[in-house]
Amino acid sequence: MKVKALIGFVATIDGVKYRVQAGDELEMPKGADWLTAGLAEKAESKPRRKTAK
Amino acid sequence: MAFLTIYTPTHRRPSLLRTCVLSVEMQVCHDYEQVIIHDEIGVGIAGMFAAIPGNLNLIKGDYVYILQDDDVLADNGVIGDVRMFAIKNNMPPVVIGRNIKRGNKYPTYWRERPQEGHIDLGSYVIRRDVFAANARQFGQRYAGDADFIDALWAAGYPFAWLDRLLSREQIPERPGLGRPERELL
Repeated sequence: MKVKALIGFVATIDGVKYRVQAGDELEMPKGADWLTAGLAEKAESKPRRKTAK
Repeated sequence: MAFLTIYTPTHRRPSLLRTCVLSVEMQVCHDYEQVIIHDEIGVGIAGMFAAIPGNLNLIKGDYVYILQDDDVLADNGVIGDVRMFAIKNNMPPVVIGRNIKRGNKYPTYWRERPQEGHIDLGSYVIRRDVFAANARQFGQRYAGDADFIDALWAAGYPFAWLDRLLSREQIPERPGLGRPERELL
């Protein structure tokens, strides 16, 4: 799931350290739950632009 | 480089963390950085202390203050007052202030050797070099913060005493004890 960071934070997932800045959009690593922690929100997927045929 | 690094470990406390961060953002003095350390698995308070040596590279401020996610800075002048106090006192290694936990004001003993149960993690601000050199002194237990500050006293670091409230708990009647927010609110 792609998320947008609400605040900057540091997290360690499976031994890998992530340093995230507020506003960063990134794929949330497996096993992480930054939404429940209040650190990030689901990134809004942009609607596909309609193209004329 | 900032004057103060506020080091905030957090675990499943979204609204408490928001209020904690807000209390920092409201400071009149902006000479700080706040580092949020997310605990994914619930390492608890002992685990929080154990993680500190591995996170020293994140601390860039002249001083370090550990503000837990269920605490807030007491008012919007805390950082400014600590900064002014430190400058006036020639940047002392240790600044002891006041904080409120479980309805009690700490430290209980003023201008005396720290004693377990009578001083709290929120009672002290430590100069970064001293913090880094002694980060392994945090005991890996609930009262590990008392081990740390007592080790500094025993090592002979001068303590400077700032009779001012630094922080307080957000929910006085429910001590956090490492529990997630849904068990506290």
